[in-house]
Amino acid sequence: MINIIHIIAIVIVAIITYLARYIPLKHGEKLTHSNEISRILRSCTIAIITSLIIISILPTYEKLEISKAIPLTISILAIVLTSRKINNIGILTIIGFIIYTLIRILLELEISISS
Amino acid sequence: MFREYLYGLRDSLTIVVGYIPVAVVFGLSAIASGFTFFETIITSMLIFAGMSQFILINMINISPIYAIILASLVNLRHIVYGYALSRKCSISKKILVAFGLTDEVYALSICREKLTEHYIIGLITGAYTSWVSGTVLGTLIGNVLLKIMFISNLKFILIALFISILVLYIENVKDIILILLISSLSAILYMFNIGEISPLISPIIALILEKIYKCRTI
Repeated sequence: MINIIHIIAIVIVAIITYLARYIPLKHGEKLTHSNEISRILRSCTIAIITSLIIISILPTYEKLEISKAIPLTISILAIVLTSRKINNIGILTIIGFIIYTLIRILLELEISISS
Repeated sequence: MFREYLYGLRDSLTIVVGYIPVAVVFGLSAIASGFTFFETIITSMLIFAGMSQFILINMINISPIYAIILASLVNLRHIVYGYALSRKCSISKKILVAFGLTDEVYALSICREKLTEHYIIGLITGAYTSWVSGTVLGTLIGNVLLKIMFISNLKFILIALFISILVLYIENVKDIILILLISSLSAILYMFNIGEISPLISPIIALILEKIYKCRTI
């Protein structure tokens, strides 16, 4: 079933995103370009993504769920190491996901065999 | 004119190769986050901005207002793109060009010596088609995967994606210092059970760090 809150949020973000692209394109000649603004916007993006990662992974480590914490740590390391060779976000994500899923399956097999 | 459009379409192949895996991951993640097929497709069709779409589906169940603010904040970097392109070539179809001005479309456009708006529209056509079709594919795969796999595994896709974006963003020591600062701050806020507000506070820390860095370089 369609969630009306989802639709409203999608439309609002779409409008804001469109305006952020359209207004400078329309009035670009009247605006003053600043490298500082570009740098600040870039830093803000890094800051938001970092905090999103931390609040997503901390619950796993806090509860000490070994079956999740080990695959999580290994797959994060795999993404970081692979990023030296591959610059595609999608491929890196899929590599991380496959490693995470495989290790979880192996750990669950190990637990079920030992019990 | 049409030739320029075709050149743009040809050059968009590099974007297409990069977009399809991300769009597939988006489709999968959206389904795992509780979005319907229709909502997922509409998100990609209307917003057409990867990072903010992922933030939106990740945060909307915590707080829709919060999700809107964060997803929009991340897209403010597009202001720079519109500005730079308007200086580089004359664009009459601004309404259309603005719709497809993503990071990758901007990067390819700004590198072209003789830039025309038809070239940009060619790039946008390839990028948009691959983004939406990749999302459809991811949504269909997601529906199948949900039936045969643990849903908690699918939720890891978002974490993996954010980490992938972050590692590719890191350029210098300042970025690493920022990441360490924000990580510590988020962990402290999490310990006090207010971790959800850290994505809103973190841009302020980034601003302060930028100011300190600027003062030091002066």
